[in-house]
Amino acid sequence: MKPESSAAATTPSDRWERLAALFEGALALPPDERDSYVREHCSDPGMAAEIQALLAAQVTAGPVERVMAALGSPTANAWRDPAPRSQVGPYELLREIGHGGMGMVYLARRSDGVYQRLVALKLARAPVLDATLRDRFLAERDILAGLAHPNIATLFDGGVTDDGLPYFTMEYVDGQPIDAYCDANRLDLTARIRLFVRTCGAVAAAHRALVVHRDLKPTNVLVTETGEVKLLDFGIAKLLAMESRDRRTETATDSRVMTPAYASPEQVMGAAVSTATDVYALGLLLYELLCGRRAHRLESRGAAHLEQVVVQTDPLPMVDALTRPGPGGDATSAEAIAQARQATPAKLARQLRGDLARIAGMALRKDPDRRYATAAHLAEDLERYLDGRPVLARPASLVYRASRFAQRHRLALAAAAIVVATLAGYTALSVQHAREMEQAAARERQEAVKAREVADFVVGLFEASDPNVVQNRDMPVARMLDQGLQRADALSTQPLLQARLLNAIGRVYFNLGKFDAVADIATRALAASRAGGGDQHADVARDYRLLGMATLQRGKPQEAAGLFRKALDIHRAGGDLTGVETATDHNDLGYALAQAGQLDDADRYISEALSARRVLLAPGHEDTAMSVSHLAFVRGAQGRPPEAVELYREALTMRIASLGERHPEVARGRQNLAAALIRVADYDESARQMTQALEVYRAVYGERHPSIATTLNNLSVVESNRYRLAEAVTYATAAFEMRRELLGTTHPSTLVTQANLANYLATMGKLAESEAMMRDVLAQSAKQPAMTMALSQPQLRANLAGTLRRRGKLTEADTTIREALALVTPKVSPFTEASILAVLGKIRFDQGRDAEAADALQRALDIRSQRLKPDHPDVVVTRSELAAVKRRLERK
Amino acid sequence: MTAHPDGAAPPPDSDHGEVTALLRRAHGDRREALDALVPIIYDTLRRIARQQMAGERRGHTLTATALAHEAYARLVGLTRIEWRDRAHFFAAAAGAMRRVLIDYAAARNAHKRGSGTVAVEIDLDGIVADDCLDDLLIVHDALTRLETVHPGAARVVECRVFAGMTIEEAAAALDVSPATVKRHWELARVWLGMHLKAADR
Repeated sequence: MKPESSAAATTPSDRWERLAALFEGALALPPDERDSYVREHCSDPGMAAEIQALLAAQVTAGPVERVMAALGSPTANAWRDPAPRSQVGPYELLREIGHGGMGMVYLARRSDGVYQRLVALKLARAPVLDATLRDRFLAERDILAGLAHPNIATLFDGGVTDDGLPYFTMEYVDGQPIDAYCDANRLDLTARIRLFVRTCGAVAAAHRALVVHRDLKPTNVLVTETGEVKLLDFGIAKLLAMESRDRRTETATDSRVMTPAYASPEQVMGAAVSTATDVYALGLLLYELLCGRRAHRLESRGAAHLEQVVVQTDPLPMVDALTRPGPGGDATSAEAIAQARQATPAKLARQLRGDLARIAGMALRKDPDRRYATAAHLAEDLERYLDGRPVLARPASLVYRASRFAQRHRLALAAAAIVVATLAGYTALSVQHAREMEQAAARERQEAVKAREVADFVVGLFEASDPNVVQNRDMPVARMLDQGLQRADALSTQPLLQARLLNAIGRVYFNLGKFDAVADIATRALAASRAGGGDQHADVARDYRLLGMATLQRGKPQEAAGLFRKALDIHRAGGDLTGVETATDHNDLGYALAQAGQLDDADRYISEALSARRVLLAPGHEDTAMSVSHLAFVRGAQGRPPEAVELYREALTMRIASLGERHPEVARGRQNLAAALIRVADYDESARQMTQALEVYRAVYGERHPSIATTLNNLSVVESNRYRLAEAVTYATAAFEMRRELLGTTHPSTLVTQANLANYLATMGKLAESEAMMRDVLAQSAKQPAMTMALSQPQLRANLAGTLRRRGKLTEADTTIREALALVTPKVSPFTEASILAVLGKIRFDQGRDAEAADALQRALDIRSQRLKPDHPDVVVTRSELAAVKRRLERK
Repeated sequence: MTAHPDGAAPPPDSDHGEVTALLRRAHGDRREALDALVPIIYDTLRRIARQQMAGERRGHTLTATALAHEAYARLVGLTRIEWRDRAHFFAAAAGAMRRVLIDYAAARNAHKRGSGTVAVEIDLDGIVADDCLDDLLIVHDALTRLETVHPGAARVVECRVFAGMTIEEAAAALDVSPATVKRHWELARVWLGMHLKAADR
C-alpha cells in the first residue's frame, strides 16, 4: 500500500490546486472580506460553497491536531522556535540578542543572585531526550568550561531545561564581528594581521585542550571596543550537534552545524573534522580580512554547487578577487576595499601577492594534511611575515591541487579508519595497517631533518582524532583517552608506536592536571620506548621528560631532576642537532633543582639554557621567557632580590609583547615580579602589579581561583610591610579561606597564608590567638615535606619563638629558637636565618644576655643589609634594636 | 556502483549499507528509491521502539519526531550522506512511521475490542496514548482518501504529522518550495478535518 498510488487523477488534483490557491488567498484577508473575495475569484458555485465551508471549519482544532499533539509533532513551528520564555534554569532572560540555525541567544542574568554579571545564554532548538546523551552533553560542557583563555568567551554553565532543551551560558561579549571592526576602524593590513594572529592564538590554545571550534566565521570572532579579540561558541557546534543522536552516529548531522560559506572541504564531503578544519576556516577569515571578498564564491545553497566551489575549486588569488565582486550582489569596489585598508588599490594589490598569498593558500589547501598543522603554525608564519623573515608557506605542488582532493578522499577516509581503530577500539585493529605505519615511520626517521615532524606524527594523529574523528564523536575526552589507553595495550608488538601513543595521551592528561595518571602512563611509555628503540632513542628522552614533569608536579623535585638528567644524557650523546632539546633539558633540570633547594646548580643549568635559547629561538620566544623567569626565581631564593626583580621585569616584557596584556601568563609574570618587589621594599609598585594581575585573573577565572588566592596572600604581605595591618588581615583572611576551600587545610599554600595571618595577629598584639595559630601551622607542616621556602620549619619556629617572647614565655621561646637554629643549613634561605637571629637577639636581650643579643642582632643586620635596601623595614628595625642593645651595653 | 567508502569498515548491522546505496540511487529516481526504503525504515522504527520501551523509560515520552531522528541516526549514521539525502530520508520515514502507527493502532484496537485475533507485536505504549488510537485511524483513513485527490498534499501531511517536520523541512524533503507546502498544508488540515468528521458520523 503505497501512499502515492497513482498520478492518474488529474482532474481532482487540478481542482485541489485551485482550491488551495483560493483558500490561501482568502485566509490572507481579514475574515469579513473573505466572502466577497471567494465570490469574485471563483465562478464554480460548488467550489465556492466548499471554500466557505472550509473557511468556517478552520477555526476549530480537530483530530489532525490531536494526533500531532499526541505524536509530539510540532503543530506550528515549535521545533524551530522554542516557545517564548522568561526563565531558563536559574537564569532570567532579559532580551533576545540573536538567533542562528542551532538556537536562540539571550542576554540573561542569574535570578537567584549568585552572580550579578550578565551572560549570553544560548538555548538550543532541539531537545535532547536520551539520558545518556544528556550525560555526555554535560561532560562535554565541563571540558569546555575548563577552556580558560582571555581571547575565548568563557563558558560558564550549561544544562538541560525541564523540557529537554540544552542551554549554555557564556561570557557576554559586547563587540563587533572582526571584519566589520577592521573596516570600521580602517585598519591597514599589518593591524589586521596582528588582530588575526591573536585570533589564531586563541584557537591554538583550544586545540591544545583538544577542542575544535568547527564553526569559525567573522560573526564568531568579535572585537570589543578596547580592541580585544573574543572568540564565541568554542566547541558549541559540537555540543549542539549532540541532539538526538545515537552513539555510533558520525558525520550525519554535521551538515547542520556548518555554515556553507565557511565550510571546509572535509565538512562538505562529510569527512573527519579535526584541528585542520579550524585552520581552513581561519584561512577563509584571513582571506576575507585581507582582500575584502569571500574566498568561497557561492551562488546557491545546493549541495552539488557547494561541493563544486569548496571541494573542487581553488579560491581566486586574493589580488584577482580584489577587483572581482563576488556573487549575491556584492557591490563593493576595489577602491572602497583599499580605502578601508588605508591603501590604494595598486598598493593593496602589491601587498596581496607573494608571502600573504602563499600563507592564505597554505591554510586553504583542500587536503587537511597539507595545511598548516595547527593554528599556532599559521600565526607563526604571519609573524615571520610581519618581522620580514622568510615565511614557511610554499605554493601547493601540482600533485596536490584542488581536484586531487576528492580522489584522495577515499584514502583519507581509510587513514581515518586506522585512527579510529587505533584509538577507540571500535573494530579490531588492523595489524597490517599498524605495521605499515610503523615501517613508514621508521623510513622517515632516517631522515634526520624530519626527526621532529615524525615525533609529532602520532601526536598529530591523536589530536586529529579527538572526539571529532573517532567514530563516536560525542565521546567525552576522558573516555576517549581511556579507550586510547586500551588501544595502546593492544600495540605491544609495535613498542615504539605504543610509546608514542602513550606519550601523546600522557600529555593530554598533563594538560588536564592529572599528574598521577601522567606518571603512570609515562612510566609505561618509557618501558615501551626503551624496549622498542633502545636506551639512547630520542623517544626515550621524550618519555623521561614527560615522567619528570609529572614527578615534579607531584612534589618530588629530586626524583624529577634525576629523570631530566637522563633525558639530557641522551640528547648530549647525539641526536640533538640544533641544541634546542639540550637547552630544554637544562631548563627543566635547573627548575627541578631549584625546587629541591639546590640553588647554585639550578642557577648554572638555567643560565646555560637561557644563553642557548637567546641564540637559538626567535626573539621573545615563550621558552626563553620561561628560562628568564626561572632564573629570576633562583636569584630571589639565593637572596639576590634586585637581580630577581630585573629578570622578572624582562620576562614580563617579553610575555606582554607576545601574549598581550590580558593573558593569565602575563598576570602570573606580574604576580612574580610583585613578589620580588616586596623583597626590595618597593611596596607601592608591588601593590600596583598585583592589582593589575588580580584584575586579569578575575576576568579569566572568576572570583575564586588558586592564582587569585596567591595574589591576595601577597597583597597582605605588602600591606603588612606598609604597616596597614587591618588591610593585611583582610587580604590574608580572604586568601586563607579561599585556599582552605580550594586546596584543603593541610596544603602548604594554605599553611603559608595561615602563618602570615598569625604573624599579623602577633604584630597587632593579639598574641594568644597568634600563638595558637602558629602552633597549628607548625603541627600541620611537620607532617609533610616542606614544599615552599616560606613554610620552612626554621622560619615557622622563629615566628613562634618571637610570639612566645612577647607573651613573656621566655623559657619556651628560648627552646623554640634553639630548635630553629639547629635546623639552619646552607639550604635555608638567608632571610630565614636573619629572622632567627633577630628573634634570638631579642630573647637574649630580654634574658639580660646583652653581649649575645648584640652579636645575634649584628649578624641579622649584616645579612639583611647586604641584601635589602637601607630603608627596608627589616633593616631599619633590626638596626634600631641593635642600637638599643648597644646603648644598654655601654651603660653597664 | 556503491558509494560506500572503502576505508570505513561496514558496521555489523547490514541495513546500513543498503540504506546508503538506496539514498545514493535516490538522486536518480527519488520516488522509487524512497518507496524501496519504506520497509527498511519500517523495520528499524519497530526495532527502536521495542528497545526504547524495553529500557527504563518511565515518564518519558518518545515523540514521533525523536523516533524518526533516531531511526535516521541508526540507518545512515555511519556513512557520509549529503544534505538532501537527509531530507529525503525523512520523507520516506514519514510514510514508514505512518504505517507503524496505523498497524499498531489497528492491532491495539482489535485487542481492546476483544477480537483477540491480532497479536500486538510491538509495544508503542509510550508513543501513542490509547485515547488517540481512534483519531489515528480516522486521520489515516481521511489521508488515504486525500491521496486519491492530491498525492502531493498527502505527502505534506505525512511529513508534518508523522515525522514532525516543519514547513521548511517538509519543503526540503519533498523538493518543493515552502510556499507550496504551506498552501497544501493549510488546506489539507481543514479538508481532513471536514472529511474525517464525515467519516466519524
